[in-house]
Amino acid sequence: MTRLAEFAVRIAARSLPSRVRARYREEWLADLDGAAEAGVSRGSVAFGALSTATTLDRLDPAGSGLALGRVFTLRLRAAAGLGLAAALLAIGLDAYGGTPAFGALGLGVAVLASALGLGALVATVGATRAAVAAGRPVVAILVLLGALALVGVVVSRVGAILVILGAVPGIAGLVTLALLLTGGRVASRRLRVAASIVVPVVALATAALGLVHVFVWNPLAKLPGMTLPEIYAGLAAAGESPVGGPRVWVLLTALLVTLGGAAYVGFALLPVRRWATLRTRRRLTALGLLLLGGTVTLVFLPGFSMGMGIADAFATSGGDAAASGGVLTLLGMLAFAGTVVVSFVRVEPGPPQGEPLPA
Amino acid sequence: MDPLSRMTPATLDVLAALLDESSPTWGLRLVGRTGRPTGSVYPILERLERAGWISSEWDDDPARTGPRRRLYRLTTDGAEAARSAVAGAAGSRASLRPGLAGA
Repeated sequence: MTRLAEFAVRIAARSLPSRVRARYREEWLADLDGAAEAGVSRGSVAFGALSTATTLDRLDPAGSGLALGRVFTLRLRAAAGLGLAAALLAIGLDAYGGTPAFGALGLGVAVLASALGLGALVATVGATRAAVAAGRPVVAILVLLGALALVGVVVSRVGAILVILGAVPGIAGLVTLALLLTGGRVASRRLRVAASIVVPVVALATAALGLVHVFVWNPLAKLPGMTLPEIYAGLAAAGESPVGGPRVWVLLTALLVTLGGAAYVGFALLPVRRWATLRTRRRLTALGLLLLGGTVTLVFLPGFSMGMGIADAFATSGGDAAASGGVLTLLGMLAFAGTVVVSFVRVEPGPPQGEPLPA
Repeated sequence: MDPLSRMTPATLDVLAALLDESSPTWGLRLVGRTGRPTGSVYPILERLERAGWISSEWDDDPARTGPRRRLYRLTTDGAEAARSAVAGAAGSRASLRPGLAGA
């Protein structure tokens, strides 16, 4: 109970506007410490903290320390980021064949999409309230219409078509967002070095797994009882071999992912003075996720070619048969959704370290 | 100081308890004084402070060990408004009693 009460108090404090966060955290932790002396249970103190966090008027600048316009912007960004991320995951799940196509992982992603959607709803209501409080009812109506349009795209299943047709401009758009919206705290050198190792390694590993899925696992799963040489001989006989053959796709994918990784490492580590303030933690995270999502998308190209070739040569379906296909698709979806969240959602930072707590 | 959008019975109890204190008092002690749950008292204190009825400060008593506590007191304007509110509520209760007694 003690640990749970302290956890609840910390969560409650963390949810508060930055201006009052440290003060209330210290106050409530001190109340937990003295609860017995006051004849109050620690659970009761935790409940009081959660009640305050829930009922605090975040629109009042006296409480949040933020002007209404800033509150509106932060909430609108949160609504857009969480809503788009939820939509991407929902559309991706639906386009691939629904939650059952991914097994237990699919259920997890569906829960995540629902949680993001709920967060988007809360943020939309908050943005609408802020717009109304600022005397901008037309803006409030536009926010609501935008949210309804997004829900409509997902529910009407038009989203899958938009995602496929708009994949290239969509990714270009995400890159733009990742570069423009991800200001904030500059990443330390230690973090930049760690990211420069982890991100390219993960991207290359994903590319390798993806290519093994496309050229080995999936063909064997689609045509049980046949060996790989027999499958490729059948493809060649039917004139359905992948353009250039697997070797070309492997080299091309390796080259492109390596170039992408090199660009990422260059941005993160090259001693260019002008880049010093651009290397924020959020930007490095968003670009790293984009590299991962882009890698999965890249692997989709030979995958599509192989899938159609096998379907035409052996009269099978064009979809994935190996579970690795679902895993890779989920990875790509989560990477793109993560990019959107990191780009859009901005949490107001607390006071810099070392500054005295507010009186 | 801003007027309160609502004056609930719990808010009146907190104001009355603060009026009874001659020095800044620990927030958790108000919970015991009023008999109200923390789920009511904590948000009330936050609202009162934001509206300027009360102010708060850290307890810097060197004689007491342990984490420092947050102490609350009524502001000058807040004390005046609190007295009016509490007196007004007491008057309303008194005017209701003869009616109830006669029912």
